[in-house]
Amino acid sequence: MLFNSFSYILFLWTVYVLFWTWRERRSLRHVLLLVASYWFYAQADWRFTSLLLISTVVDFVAGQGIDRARAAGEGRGAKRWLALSLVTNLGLLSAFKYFNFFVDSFGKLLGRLGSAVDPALWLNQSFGLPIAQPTEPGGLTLLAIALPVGISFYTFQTLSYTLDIYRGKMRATTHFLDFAVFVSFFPQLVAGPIVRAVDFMPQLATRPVFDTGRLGSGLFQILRGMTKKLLMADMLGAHIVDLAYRDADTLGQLGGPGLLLATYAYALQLYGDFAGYSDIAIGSARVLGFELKKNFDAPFKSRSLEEFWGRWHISMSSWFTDYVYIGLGGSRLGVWKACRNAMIAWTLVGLWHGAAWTFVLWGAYHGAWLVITRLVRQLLPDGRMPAGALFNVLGVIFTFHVVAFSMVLFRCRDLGDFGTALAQLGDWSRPLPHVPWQIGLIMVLGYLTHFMPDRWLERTERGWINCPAALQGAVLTIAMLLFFALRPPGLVPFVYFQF
Amino acid sequence: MSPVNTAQHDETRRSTPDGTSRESGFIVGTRTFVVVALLVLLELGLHHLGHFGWWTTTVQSARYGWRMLPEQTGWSRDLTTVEQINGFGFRDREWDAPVVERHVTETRTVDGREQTVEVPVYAKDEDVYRIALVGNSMSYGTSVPIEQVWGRVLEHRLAEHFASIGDPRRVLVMNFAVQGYVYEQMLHVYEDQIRPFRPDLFILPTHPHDPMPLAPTRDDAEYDFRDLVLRTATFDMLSRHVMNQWIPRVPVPAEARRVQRFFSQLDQAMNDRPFGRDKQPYWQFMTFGREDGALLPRVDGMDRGLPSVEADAMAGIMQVHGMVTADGGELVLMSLPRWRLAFEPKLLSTGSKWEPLARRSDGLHHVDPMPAFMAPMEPIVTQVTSIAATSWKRVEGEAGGQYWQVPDMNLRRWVDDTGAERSGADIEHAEQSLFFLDDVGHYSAPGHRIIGEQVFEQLRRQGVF
Repeated sequence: MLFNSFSYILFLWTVYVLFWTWRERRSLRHVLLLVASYWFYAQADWRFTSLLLISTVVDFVAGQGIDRARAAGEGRGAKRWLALSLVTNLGLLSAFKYFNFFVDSFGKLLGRLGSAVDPALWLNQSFGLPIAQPTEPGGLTLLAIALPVGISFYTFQTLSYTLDIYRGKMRATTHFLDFAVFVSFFPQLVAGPIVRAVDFMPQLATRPVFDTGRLGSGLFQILRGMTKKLLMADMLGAHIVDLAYRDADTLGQLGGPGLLLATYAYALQLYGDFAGYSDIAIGSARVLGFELKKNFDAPFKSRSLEEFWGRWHISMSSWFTDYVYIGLGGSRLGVWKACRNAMIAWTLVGLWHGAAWTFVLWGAYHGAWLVITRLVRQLLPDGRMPAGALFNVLGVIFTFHVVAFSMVLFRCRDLGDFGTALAQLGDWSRPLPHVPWQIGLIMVLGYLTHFMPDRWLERTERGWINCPAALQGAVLTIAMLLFFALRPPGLVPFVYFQF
Repeated sequence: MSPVNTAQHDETRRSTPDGTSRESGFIVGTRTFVVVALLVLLELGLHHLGHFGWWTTTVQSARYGWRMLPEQTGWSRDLTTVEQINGFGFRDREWDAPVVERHVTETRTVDGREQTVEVPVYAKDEDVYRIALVGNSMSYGTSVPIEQVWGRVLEHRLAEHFASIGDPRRVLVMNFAVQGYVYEQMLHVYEDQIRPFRPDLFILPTHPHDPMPLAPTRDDAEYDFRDLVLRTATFDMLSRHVMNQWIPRVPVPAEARRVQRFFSQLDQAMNDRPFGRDKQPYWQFMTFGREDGALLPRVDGMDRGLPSVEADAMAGIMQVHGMVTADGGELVLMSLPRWRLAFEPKLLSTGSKWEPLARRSDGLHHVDPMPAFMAPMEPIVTQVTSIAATSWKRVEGEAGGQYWQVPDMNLRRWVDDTGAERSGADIEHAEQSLFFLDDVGHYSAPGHRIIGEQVFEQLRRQGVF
């Protein structure tokens, strides 16, 4: 079930009514959230609810094991329980998301080294793994493994729980129902934000208080998200980005101006799509009385790449910072090791996004820029970038283009397409592709609203919350009709569902 | 920092953003009410005051081009007739679903691989004499009540005949016609929809426009509650005044653009020699269709050259003939009379094309109601010819370097020699016209009656009944 569907509106409304009706009854309230969340998840593929359940049970048990071992002062015992959690979650992720990628890449590597061993064939013949099907002449094709939607998100979410208990940041919960709700909470289940147990679990332990202001604020967030997704991301995707990146032929005919246009459009599309999803997730949770942390904060306003990653997909970048970068030692072990740690963490960020070399390179590219930024800062007198309006503007423009360039890599299907795209930068003789004026207007307005001062948005939200409920209802009606009428045909899934 | 304790459940009240823990407002109240009320009011208002959502609705389909939305009731485009579409998506009464008798195993090639599939075999109801017909608006009965459409006329005549000869079978004529369909679509309908009913007789009306190939089409985008939304007046309003006016169409892929280029070349070729000896029956459509924007998108698929288009249509018809006879039925090709207004008002039929074919093919019959149309239509055609010669404005065009002139094809309104404004109703004997005089592309109720009766009489003479 997609957030941008009529079904979701009805679903959320139903859950909202039942949730607040049963607000005095904790168990009923949480059973409702659990059933609703599993039902929501099962709409994509009911079979994968078993993975969600496995992850939930294992981490609940592991969390209690770690907690007990820590209380008893048994460091090795805690480690064993943590290992169980890590192996289970990363094992599920590897099996469903990375297995084919690793087998395929390993086979290609062996081939280049002159070996005739085919790992797929070997696994197939030695262990009888049904991972491949024969093809003519005499070869094997790896069978596509269905990617359970949201697996990258909920596995990381449950891992944060066991890791935080292991690090002593929180105690394990003894309430399985609460924990199951935390893992499966539908607003953020399939594409984040990656919620930390330390932030979310205490909200489950207290009784929610119905408040029309919070309801209004939640609805405002949902409207914002829908606008970004339906009126911005989907339109730019259908009219510019998808056409430009359709195949190698279309990419090869873009020329420099076309690539530039497609890149600016894609930057805004990706932002609108994912930030839109996050807004709807945060708004939906708020309507039910839960607060999720902000996941996007006008990222293109960033003056440096470090700042950008503090504003773009905040829950993921902070997860990798806390559990990978700092886990590896962070910056405590000197500049060079800090650089090494950053490269490892960001390459993994790339791999987290998808099982393809384009994503790995994309992550490494960001890691390399962050390392360069750190080294440049080391050379500056007080370790800080120059300030002032001009530097700020230049910093924003520079950072935006560093990020936008990486998005070409992010959008290309493979490295061959990326090479074709890069070649376009050498051909500025082609004219700018025709773009309908409505789409051009959407792009201009998208960037303008992105760069508008935060206080304008806050004032708008306050105005919305304070306006009469009847007026809010009227605006919601008009917005629903406009979303329906102005979007491209059909339901366009969110880009981050593939991760 | 002490660890967060999530083990406890004190069920204390969470505070609101303003720091209180006081509840405010109702869970379901004004917002929900206003949203629902506004949507209902908008729907009712647009329907009753704005005349939106009154017509029957179609959805785009990759296989059929377009299909009627099932289970709907709406007005015909000219708001003269209420049309009821059944659960199968056709303008007829509700039908019982075909009954599966058994399954047989067949080997079929799917995606280049041979696969064994279970194919259903449908039961034949021996108590019913079943006739299925396809076609376009002329069989659909545009602007004519369903009881007066030729399919229903045929059903009544045949039921009377069966009663008179003591045949106990019930007669059921199933109308699968959809407005605007060409052979390609009709043949798909036969293959997918009609075969399971195992009709005794399958009637395929033919019209000069019908060899046109179906333009490449994609399925309409699916979304939740789509079939419900499509029926609403609100959708009709948004579709006509927002989506189709303000939202640019998503550009077509390269292959579709290629088809469009072929169409342009074809169009150019036809313009180069509009009266050439190798012209096809539908060339007039190609020439004048450009004035009708709604028709043009349908001919975008004409990328195979003129002769092959008609050959394809013929091959398709013979393929259906094979299927019909294999199923134990018989095929009837019916030549639909057509009134052409362009150049000189004239009645046309494809009868000469099909009669020789029917004579030499087993299980193939031919019906041509044209002779029955000539007598009542002659005085009207004569009048219109004289009007065309003097009163109608002429449309000029350039083809192959030569100018040509044709009368404007409009009987709805014209200015006569005296400067007075006239319409089809002013023509003498207008009431006996078998075509609508304000819409000469469609039969009036008397036209349908004659066709229904002619089909019955001619098939009876041929020994079918």
